[in-house]
Amino acid sequence: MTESLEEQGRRIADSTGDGPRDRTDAGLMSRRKFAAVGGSTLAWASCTAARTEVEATDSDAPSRRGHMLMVIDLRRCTGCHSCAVACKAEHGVRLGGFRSWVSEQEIGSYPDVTREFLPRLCNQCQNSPCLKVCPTGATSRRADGIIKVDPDRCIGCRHCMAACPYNARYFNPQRDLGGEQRRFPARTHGTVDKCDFCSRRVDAGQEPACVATCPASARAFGDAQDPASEVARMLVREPAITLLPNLGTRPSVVYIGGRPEAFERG
Amino acid sequence: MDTIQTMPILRPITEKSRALQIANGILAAATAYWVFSCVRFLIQGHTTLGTSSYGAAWGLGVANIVHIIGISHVGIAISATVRVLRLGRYRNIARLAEVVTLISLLLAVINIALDVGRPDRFVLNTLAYGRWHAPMVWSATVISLYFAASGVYLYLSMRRDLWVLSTMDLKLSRLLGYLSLGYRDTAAERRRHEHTLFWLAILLVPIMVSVHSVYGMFFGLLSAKAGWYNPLQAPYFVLGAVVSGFSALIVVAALLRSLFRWTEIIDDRTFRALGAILAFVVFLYLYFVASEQLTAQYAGPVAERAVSNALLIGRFAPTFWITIIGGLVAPFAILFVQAIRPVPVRVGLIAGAAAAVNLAMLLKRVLLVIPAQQYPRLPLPRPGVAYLPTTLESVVTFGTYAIGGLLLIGILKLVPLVELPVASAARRDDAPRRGRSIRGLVIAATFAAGVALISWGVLTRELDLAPLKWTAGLILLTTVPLERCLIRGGPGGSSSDDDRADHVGG
Repeated sequence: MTESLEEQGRRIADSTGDGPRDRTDAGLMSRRKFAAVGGSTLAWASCTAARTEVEATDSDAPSRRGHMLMVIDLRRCTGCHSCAVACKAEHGVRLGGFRSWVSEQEIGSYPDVTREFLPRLCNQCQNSPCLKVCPTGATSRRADGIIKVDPDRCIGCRHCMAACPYNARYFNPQRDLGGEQRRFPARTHGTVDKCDFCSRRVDAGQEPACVATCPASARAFGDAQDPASEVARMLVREPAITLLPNLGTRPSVVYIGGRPEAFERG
Repeated sequence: MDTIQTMPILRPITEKSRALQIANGILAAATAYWVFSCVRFLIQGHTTLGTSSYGAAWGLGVANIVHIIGISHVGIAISATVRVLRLGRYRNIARLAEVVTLISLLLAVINIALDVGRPDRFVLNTLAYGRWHAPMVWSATVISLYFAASGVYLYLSMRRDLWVLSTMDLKLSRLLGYLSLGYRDTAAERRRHEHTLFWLAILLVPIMVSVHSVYGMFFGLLSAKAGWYNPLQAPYFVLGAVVSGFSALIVVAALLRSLFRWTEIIDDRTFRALGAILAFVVFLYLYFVASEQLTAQYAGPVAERAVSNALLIGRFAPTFWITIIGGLVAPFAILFVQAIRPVPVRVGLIAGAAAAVNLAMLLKRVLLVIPAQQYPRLPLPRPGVAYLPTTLESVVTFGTYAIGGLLLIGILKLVPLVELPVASAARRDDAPRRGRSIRGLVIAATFAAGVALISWGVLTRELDLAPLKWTAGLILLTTVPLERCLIRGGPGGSSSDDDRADHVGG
């Protein structure tokens, strides 16, 4: 790889539309100042920003433009699987399916062995193989870059599952007994489902469930095009790594501080 | 017309065959069991199958769809070759091949409907919301076109026979007369049919290639799974289709030959020639397999090699080597010897070899679809499941062949599956009629409407209903040959039209 990791991180942050440095309007400046008060309060700041916009638009419509991105700090991850549990609870993901999970692997040989964790979820690729092959447009990209599956349109051909190199998608093979399917669209039978960065929570100005629940604060979520956002600042500061970069999918889930490539089988 | 010479061809229609009745009974029972299994499957869902999100999302069903689509290729390949290259000797199997095409296309659509998670909405959503960049939409488009065009082709090539049968004293003569839609067997009509069919055959070949290429692209365009991403996938699939198509045709032809004592009609020479073609394409196919595996083994990236190792020495090795040795190499040897040596042709042997090849092709498709999904590039959320099809899955998947058998028998009892020889001279042309201009107008209007619909669909490809527009346009275009033959023109009024037909189509 000719490009240094830092450059790569910057490129990911800048990759859609106008880069962070181009945005200098007063509103953003004030938000940047606001964020400077404390890193963790930033999420709350973006919540308020998002909320005002949600009120102005249709609740189904994407609340904003931009590039929603998740940064996962592997040095912080303790492998507690809280993210996987929170995700299951949030979306009612069926048994045997996962929107979010943690891969574990022993790396090295005795006596230099470490057990490493790799929180996984849909990478919300900017060049998404699943989006290309979806025959009905059930898989679509929102203006903020989130890839969503519309369970009312999906025909369950599973071509997207074949096309996804991250195994981020699962199939609901069975009709639910009881009303679970109505409560949780993710359970619609005969359709494919995957992580959508909790788009309903994002529209309501909240963080995705896995981010909100992570006890080690290993995850950060925000708009990479907003220079004031935590993720944008992290990407400039830290060398960022994505999974399977040679497939050219340009993921919106970015890892820092670990060796995710050790999990890959190229 | 009904001379002794034509009688053997009509045996399926005129004679009662005990074997056929038994076959009918078995197939009907199998179909009933298939329907029962499908209902069970549709109620209980995909959990009853061996497929899973973290093992193989695509299983036996998809492999079988590829296989059936492959078989469907044969009709057009053979009858187009026969017609375009004027291989009159092999006209005896052309129609049989076309019927095999249409039946297997129908079965493929049934299988696709059963494989998707939502059979209730798959056709509507694909046509209504289809995205132009999705291989599934390409497939829906080209299969619709292929089905419509092959249907028109089969009908036009059969129209004279329908008329001939309607003049005979048969049980269904009256129905067949209606089906011939006013055919009168004049010289001009014969010429026009030949001419139309000639050009239709030429157009059908690229459509056939596109169908099978699209199925190759289902896999070849996906870089996600090692073992699939391969620019050769499209030609590989076209070749595979030729192999499975020819082998299926040989088996069906041999069955019919023994059933109706058709030793004169489908003679030894035909089998020798079909066997030789099959030997050649099997050899080419083996070459593709070797090239694919060498690439994966030589410099292969880790994941590619994992899939290749699984095939050559790993979990799938028994299936792989049985397929290659028993299903491709050994039959190749048999067919090769039968083709080049001056040994007496043994139809049973050729048919047996062809059956082995056909089965091997099905296994080869399974070996394409499954292993690549079993060796993911990244760890799965839970331990991966080794794919093994369930009994219900096999019944649901292969039960469609029973429907295919029933359809074949039904067609067999209705129309001659071998073209009737043109024994009589054509009737004299009728008196001049008006109508040529009407025909021209209708054809021009259809053509314009079809092209307009296609362009409308392509231009509005980002909007809903675009695939419906272009598919409707393409199907409309396939009615042009029908109109050309069905709308009666004035043959005597001006013979220029038919003169042209003479030296182009013969």
